[in-house]
Amino acid sequence: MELAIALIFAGCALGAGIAMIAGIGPGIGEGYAVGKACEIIGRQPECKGSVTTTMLMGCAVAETTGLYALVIAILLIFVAPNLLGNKLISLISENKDMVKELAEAAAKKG
Amino acid sequence: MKFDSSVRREIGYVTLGTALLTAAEIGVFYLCGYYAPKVLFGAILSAVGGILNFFLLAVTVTRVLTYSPEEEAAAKGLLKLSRISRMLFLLAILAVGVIFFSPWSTLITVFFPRVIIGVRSVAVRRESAANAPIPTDGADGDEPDESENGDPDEGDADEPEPKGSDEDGTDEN
Repeated sequence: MELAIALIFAGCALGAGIAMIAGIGPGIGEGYAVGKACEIIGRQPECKGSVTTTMLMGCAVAETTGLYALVIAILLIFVAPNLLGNKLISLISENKDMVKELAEAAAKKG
Repeated sequence: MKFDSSVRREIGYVTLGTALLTAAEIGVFYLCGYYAPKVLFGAILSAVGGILNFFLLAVTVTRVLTYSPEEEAAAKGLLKLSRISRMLFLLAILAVGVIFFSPWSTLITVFFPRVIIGVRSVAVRRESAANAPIPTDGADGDEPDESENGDPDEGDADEPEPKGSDEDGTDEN
């Protein structure tokens, strides 16, 4: 049972790490947007107000995907292990005899 | 730091919209019978975190746009630093909300500022399309798509010309 719980924890941690790969994209996009905005304001300083508003909106929208990834990672780290661990424990306690038989058979084979 | 009036307006919209949506969410939890003080505190913590995140983004964008084009690398570095620190801040807020309060109310509420921003970006696009200057020099000035291209006659260039015109234009043959 310890092995099963450890596997669940490991899978959740790996999944959270993989989910956070989605945080790379918004960073690249925002950096590109800032570069272009600096360029445009240097060329046309009178457009600063509209560029600021547009960039603020654009950055906020671009960050949304990173936020999705963060929420998924938090769910996988804090919520999923408890849910899955509790379900596994209840499943094992319900089928104690079957688990015992399987363990004995495995021990005989080993 | 002095904000642009449009930035202040957007912060106000996001704050107001998030507060309204959070109140609606608490109402839905209450109606479904899942209301508890933990739900309320989780939602409030998450809403404050989301609004603060947007405010810090506005501060960063306002500061970044004061840089000259030669300081582009410094501007990108500042934005990167801000992004990482805001993400860690949100992580801390969400972790506290999920561990000590209600996970679902905390995680749902953090998306409310994004909903408001999405709605606002559509509204701003519509406003700018409605306030676009209407051409007065062209004879057919009632086509807004042509006025965006700058040349009202540009659309005619893409239309296929009659066969006779090609033959007339090739005088060399």
